[in-house]
Amino acid sequence: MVDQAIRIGGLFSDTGVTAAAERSTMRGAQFAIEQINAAGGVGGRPLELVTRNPDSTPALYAMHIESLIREENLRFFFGCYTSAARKAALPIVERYDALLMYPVYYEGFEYSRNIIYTGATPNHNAVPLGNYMLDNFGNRVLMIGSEYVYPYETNRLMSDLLYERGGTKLGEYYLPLKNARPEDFAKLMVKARELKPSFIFSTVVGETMAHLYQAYADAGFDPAVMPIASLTTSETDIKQMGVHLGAGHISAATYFQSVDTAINRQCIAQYRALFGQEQVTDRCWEAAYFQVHLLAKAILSAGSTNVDDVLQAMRGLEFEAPQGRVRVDAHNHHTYLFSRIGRANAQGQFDILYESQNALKPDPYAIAPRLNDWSSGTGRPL
Amino acid sequence: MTLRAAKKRQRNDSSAGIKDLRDISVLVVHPDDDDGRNLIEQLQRIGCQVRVQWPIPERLNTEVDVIVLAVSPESLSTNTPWLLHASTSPIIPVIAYENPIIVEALVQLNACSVIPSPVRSFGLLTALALTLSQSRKAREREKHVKRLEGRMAVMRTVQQAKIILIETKGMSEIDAYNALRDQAMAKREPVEKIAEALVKAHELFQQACS
Repeated sequence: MVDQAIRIGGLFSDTGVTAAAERSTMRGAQFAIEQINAAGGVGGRPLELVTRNPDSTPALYAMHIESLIREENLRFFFGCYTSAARKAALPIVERYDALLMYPVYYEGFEYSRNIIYTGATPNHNAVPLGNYMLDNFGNRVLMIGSEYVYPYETNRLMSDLLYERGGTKLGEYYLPLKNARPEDFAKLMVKARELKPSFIFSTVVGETMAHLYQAYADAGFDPAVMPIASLTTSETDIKQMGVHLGAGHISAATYFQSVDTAINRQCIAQYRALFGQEQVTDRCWEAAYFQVHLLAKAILSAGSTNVDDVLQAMRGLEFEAPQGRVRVDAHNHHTYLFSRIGRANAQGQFDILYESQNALKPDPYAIAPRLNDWSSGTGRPL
Repeated sequence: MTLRAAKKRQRNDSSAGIKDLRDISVLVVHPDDDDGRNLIEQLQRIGCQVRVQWPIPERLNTEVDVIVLAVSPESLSTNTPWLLHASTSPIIPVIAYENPIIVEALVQLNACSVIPSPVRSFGLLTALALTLSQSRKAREREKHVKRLEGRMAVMRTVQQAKIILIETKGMSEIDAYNALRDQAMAKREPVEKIAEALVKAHELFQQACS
């Protein structure tokens, strides 16, 4: 019994619109599992990832989780990417009292006793990014997003921030998550030329993100003057679309590959040795990586694989992650995380412009941004 | 209506209402059990000021914005008239039964959303927002109705005064109104005050003559 593997379900799409990001997320989880197993597993038991491909389709995440619970008797899961996928999975994990660890930033307004959220809430990324852009580029904003709940809710928050600071919203445009065409983005660039925003605020997700940056480049805009500020664009996205398209644009995240800590450097070196020297890391990769370690720590300290015991151990649990020391909030199941803003450089990496000194308390139910979050001295510009 | 249209409307009328949710005080009147604890924890996650009281007090001593109240067959029998007062803060009932007697109680409590037991985290924020917005609208409506009733009464008096002038002095309706208004301007009083005085005087005069 002791050396029997602890089997964990991995819901990562290998196909569909968010496949590229989810493959990176899966590698983060796989890498952590290899590290843990190389060090002797969890109390002597190795971890084993049982993966399914939900094809970026919400109903399939739910279906695969249910089948893994009923047929394979699994109780622990990593993954889901969009909020739609997580919302589909939520009733299943609650019904069977399973545990889902969700490694993606999202819009908040959710709590489930059966989910641990290790990605950013808007107070980690959207509010700092909005404030930074308003301070440094001006307050005329054009918003472009994919047509689903995360961009809607993020733009609602950003609009509030903008109004409170006396700015102007020049437009709020949504394009389909699937099948938005390059010419749709080109039309928005014509709008941008007319309206002359201070910056473009993007919540475009998935495959069509490349069209946005391509359309921007084709329009001949200068990122030093009017950059795209994005909550979604990561190193992995930039590598996929081509580093020249991303260069000069700005993004906010809890983690960038360029975070300069010994643990991060060591992690990346090990990761590349195992997965290939060409690999890059990103925010969801890192969240997926450290959440595996959180689960391992929780199982070890609970001394059991009972979901209730593991959840109990998870609350308040800390881990020295590549982004810095993180902690699971005991009350809302989200995670204390760092806040960072970076500008993409010619190598497809982010030069960090701002970072918080500490991990910030997650605030999933923040209806309106609090302006003093920015000036309260929790962060330092670099 | 598309989702985007809904969002635009929200910007204009009620987004301020949702933003307040963090500052409101909520009184949880619920036994100390799993549901009660889930309620309190979720309200705290949302960021409300939470106070707790059980059993249902005979009178309410504190000012709160919303009351979350366990409504069960047992709690129906307690004598708590303050729950039904028009001035009582809006109530969100927590119910485990859906039988007619409970539903009737919810109607009496004027509830516009409920939390079903077992309590989950999902739904509480929506119930709070809807309840606050509905009670705000109801209060505004009531104020509006009061104002209209007042205006109606004024119009009735002015009408009566005009009829008196028309009947006793043989004036046209326009002349009657002008006479009232001229008096009002000369005495620096509102027209309805003059009309009221005239109606009273006319009543007294008729009583004296009969």
